[in-house]
Amino acid sequence: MRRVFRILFRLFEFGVIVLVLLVVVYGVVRYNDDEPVTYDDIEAHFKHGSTGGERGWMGQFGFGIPYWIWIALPEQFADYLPDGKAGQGYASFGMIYEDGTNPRYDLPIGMSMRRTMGIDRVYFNCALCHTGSVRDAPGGPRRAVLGMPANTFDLGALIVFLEQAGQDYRFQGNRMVPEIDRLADEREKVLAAGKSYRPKRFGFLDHAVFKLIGVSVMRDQLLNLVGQLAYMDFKSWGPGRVDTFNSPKALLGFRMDTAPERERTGNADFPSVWNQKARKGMWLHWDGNNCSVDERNLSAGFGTGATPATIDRDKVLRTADWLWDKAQPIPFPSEHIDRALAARGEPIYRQYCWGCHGAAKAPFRQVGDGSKVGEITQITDIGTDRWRLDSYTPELAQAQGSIYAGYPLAGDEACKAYFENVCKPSEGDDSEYRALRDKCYPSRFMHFRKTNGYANMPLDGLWLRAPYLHNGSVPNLRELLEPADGRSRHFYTGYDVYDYANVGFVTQGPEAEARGWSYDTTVRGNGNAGHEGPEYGTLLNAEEKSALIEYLKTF
Amino acid sequence: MKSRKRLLKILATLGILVVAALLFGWYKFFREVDQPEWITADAEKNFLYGSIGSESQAGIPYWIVVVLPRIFGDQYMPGPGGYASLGLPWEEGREFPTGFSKKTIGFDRVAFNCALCHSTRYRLEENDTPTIVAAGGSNTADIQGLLDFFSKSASDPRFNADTILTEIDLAYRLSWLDRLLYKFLYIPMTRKQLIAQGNDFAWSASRPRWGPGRDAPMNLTKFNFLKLPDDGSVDNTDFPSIWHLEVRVQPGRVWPEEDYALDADFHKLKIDQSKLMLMNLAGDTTSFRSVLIDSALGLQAKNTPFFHRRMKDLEAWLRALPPPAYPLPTDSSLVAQGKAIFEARCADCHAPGQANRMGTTIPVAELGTDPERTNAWTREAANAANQKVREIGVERTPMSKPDRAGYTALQLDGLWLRGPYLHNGSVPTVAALLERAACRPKVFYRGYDVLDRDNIGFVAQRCDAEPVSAPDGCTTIVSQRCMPPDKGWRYDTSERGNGNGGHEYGSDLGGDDKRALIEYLKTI
Repeated sequence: MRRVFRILFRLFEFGVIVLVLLVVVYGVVRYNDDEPVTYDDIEAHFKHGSTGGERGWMGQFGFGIPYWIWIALPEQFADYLPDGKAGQGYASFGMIYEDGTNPRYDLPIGMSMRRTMGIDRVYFNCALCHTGSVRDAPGGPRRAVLGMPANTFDLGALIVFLEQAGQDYRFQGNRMVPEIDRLADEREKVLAAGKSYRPKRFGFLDHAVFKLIGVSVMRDQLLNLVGQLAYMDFKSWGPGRVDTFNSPKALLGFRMDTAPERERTGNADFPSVWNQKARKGMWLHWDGNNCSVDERNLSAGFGTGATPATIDRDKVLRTADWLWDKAQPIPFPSEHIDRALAARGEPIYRQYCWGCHGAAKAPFRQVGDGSKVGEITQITDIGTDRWRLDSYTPELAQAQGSIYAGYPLAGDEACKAYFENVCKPSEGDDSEYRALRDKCYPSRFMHFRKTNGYANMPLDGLWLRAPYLHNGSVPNLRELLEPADGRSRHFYTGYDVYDYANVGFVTQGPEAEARGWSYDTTVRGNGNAGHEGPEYGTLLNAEEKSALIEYLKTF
Repeated sequence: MKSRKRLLKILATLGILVVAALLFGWYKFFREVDQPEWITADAEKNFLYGSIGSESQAGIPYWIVVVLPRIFGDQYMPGPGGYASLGLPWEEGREFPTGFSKKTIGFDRVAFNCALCHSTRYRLEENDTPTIVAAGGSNTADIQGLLDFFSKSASDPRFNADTILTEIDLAYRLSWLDRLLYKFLYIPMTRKQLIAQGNDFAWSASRPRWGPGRDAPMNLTKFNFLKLPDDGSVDNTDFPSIWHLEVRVQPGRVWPEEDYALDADFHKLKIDQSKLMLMNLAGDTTSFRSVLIDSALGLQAKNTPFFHRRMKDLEAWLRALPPPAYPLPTDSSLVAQGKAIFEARCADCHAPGQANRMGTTIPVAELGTDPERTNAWTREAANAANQKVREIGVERTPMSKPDRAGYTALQLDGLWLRGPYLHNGSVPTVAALLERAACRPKVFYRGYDVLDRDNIGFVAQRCDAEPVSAPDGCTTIVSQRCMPPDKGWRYDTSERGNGNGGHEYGSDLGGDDKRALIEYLKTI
């Protein structure tokens, strides 16, 4: 009898050990998984590929929001949405849900998903701020254009939404998890038969973990992130804009309570990101503060949560390679171009604009051609609103020298050639740059400089980059060719119906007012003066202006 | 037999383990790697970023230096900008400001070198990229602020392995081994050292703040280096320029270091003290090399062959380094006029290459400037310093104190970049110095680096300042430029040690003569 007991006891011991081991192994394996959703098609990769921002590293949780929480938020906190209506995901922020997707359960363009720490988490990628939308007519079909500034997307409003939800007492496990259950049920019903979703609904373990602690942890992370950025006024951004360089100040621990007023607002339009090869060596960002396309991409990458420790290098470089010379704007609809008139505009462009803005198509400049594309025009010359310029401070330029410290991993000595090459204009054959980049990317930021003006940009895909000037204060090209007192003082942005006659989006009228955001040029940072005077074409006669605008349609 | 073999096996294994541990220890903690060539091959870069040998004693682990401003910047830095907000000159594109030296000794460490206090930053216009001049006296660096930042951060409960490693995790993937070393060794040790350093500086909390461009050199020596009891003295002094040391070699002078044994005390030698070339603002030493060595030892440089080589190289470079040339055009006829006035009125104390009073101390009774700095240093302290340096094992010409306490009559080379003026930086511009003390501004702002091109020095008034009319009998000094209201540090001449009296030479000159003299002084 005793023997039997002993054997049974041994078996029991053994069983317990095995069980514990299984649990531990399961935990370790699950926690350490790292499985992004990947895409063979490069455009799909741009729209939804991960930059690594979802994932964490050691003590850092990462920025990824659990998919189910992301889905539940606009349902549970619909009252904080701009239009108060649940059931359409984040569409009311101007995020783009492609045809055939369900805004309630699918991710919009600009979001990626990765299974990390055992949970499917979602976050942003490059396409979030660099995919725009254009329509011919109200209610007409929408064209999502990759690489275009995200003209409809109000990032500031989204952050405000997340902050309000995070501060709301309803953001807790025993309210959100039942909501998630309900959504999971609904999702099963609405899905076409055979379509499977990732992730599945919560299993027993996830259900318990989220209810008890997961939702609270998420809330913490959200409030922590948004709280650190509280010195910015998110409500002042509007669709298509962001306060670009006030954000990194939080990353660097800048003490903003003592920052002078003139440094605190730097709202600027999202730029286009096509043709990076032709932009190599130009001074980039609106104020021309960096000549390295690589640093520009890595710096922007922080916005997608990609830090030096978590960046998915291969995926980011895959996107960079596409933006290098493959991604292109869609052309201005031919039926709206008067070719003869456009031809008359070409010499006017050559005389007045080419000197700063270069050729219509890449390459925009040739070495030694006398143009100043990619150089900086002093603020006293250009005369545009200086808030963006002043928000980028000398201290920030200096302190950014510490970002990506410790890189390149190959060592500074081995990468001297890369540091020098990265700010040289592209040759036809870029294989030397690519080889150097392969070895030395990412590298410590070495090229940020404080400037005193705004950079002369190429105008590729210009029609899609409205509204104009760095702060989007001029609705269309026709107004840009008027002196400031002839430009609209107030209009609506974020509405994607196009005004082909004036080259810009429709910014007035009941539709724009209903669907757009109120842009007041008298608010600080939104000034619409500058880029005017004889050299800027504002004194041309009406006929000349029309010809010039027609020619600009062909860019 | 069997147990013998076993014992041998155990010993052999232990032996291998010990050797492995020693090798590992050497690799991770002691292996010295030369700094990169762009630093070591260029004398100027070496001055700005090169090691003076203090990394092993006072180096802070690299990743802590990188992330500390990101963790504590919003609490313990004076403004937005990390290290940049402390006015530390920082070349765009570099990882750290000047004065930060990064070196691998086992692990990467960051220590400070001469350039921390001896690199000057200037701009011609507010919107210019600053120019950084090596071997100047820093005008913008808030060193006390830097020390405060480190000690406050270290005393903060958030200075722990968890917080610091979590911040590093945003910036880099440390190896698991380095993580462990940071967690159990580097972070706790650094915390201890920075707190101790903070305690060492406790004496400075009860005294007037140094402000940008200044420190308390003799009190540092007495209380930190020598651990002498706090005697209540105040000695806030501008960082001096150290370029072109050669200019201080005056004809007919005695140079103990060259002419006598290295340890000769000039008091014992019974030398005519008026024949010595005195260094430091109160004439506390007679040797270039001594000053360099003492300053470096104050930064906790270690007494090694590398250190000695470096001191020698530095001395040679600094002796020869020409002062920076004034960056703007000057009126040559005014300059010629001014030169004549200089020769008549200033040369006796300030002209190099002559058998005059330059390089001797002018007694306080005669000069009339604030006596606190010279009173802060005594012969006893000098003796203690000499003793300590001997204990460290360094041979150098002793420090002392001249019999007649006063301030050294200095060379004026590069004067345009050496504002504000007098030993305590109490007079913002040369134009103000050429006024009687009662006419000089009682309050002004220092630490702003745009040149005041009319008056020599830096712009010292804020743009929103009330216009102050000069008292009767004084000239109103006007500057073309002003600083934004959020810049600059308020300098109050009524604070102890900040007195702006004395040195009223030339205040009797007419307005035209003063203008000519100023024009000349821009060019020297």
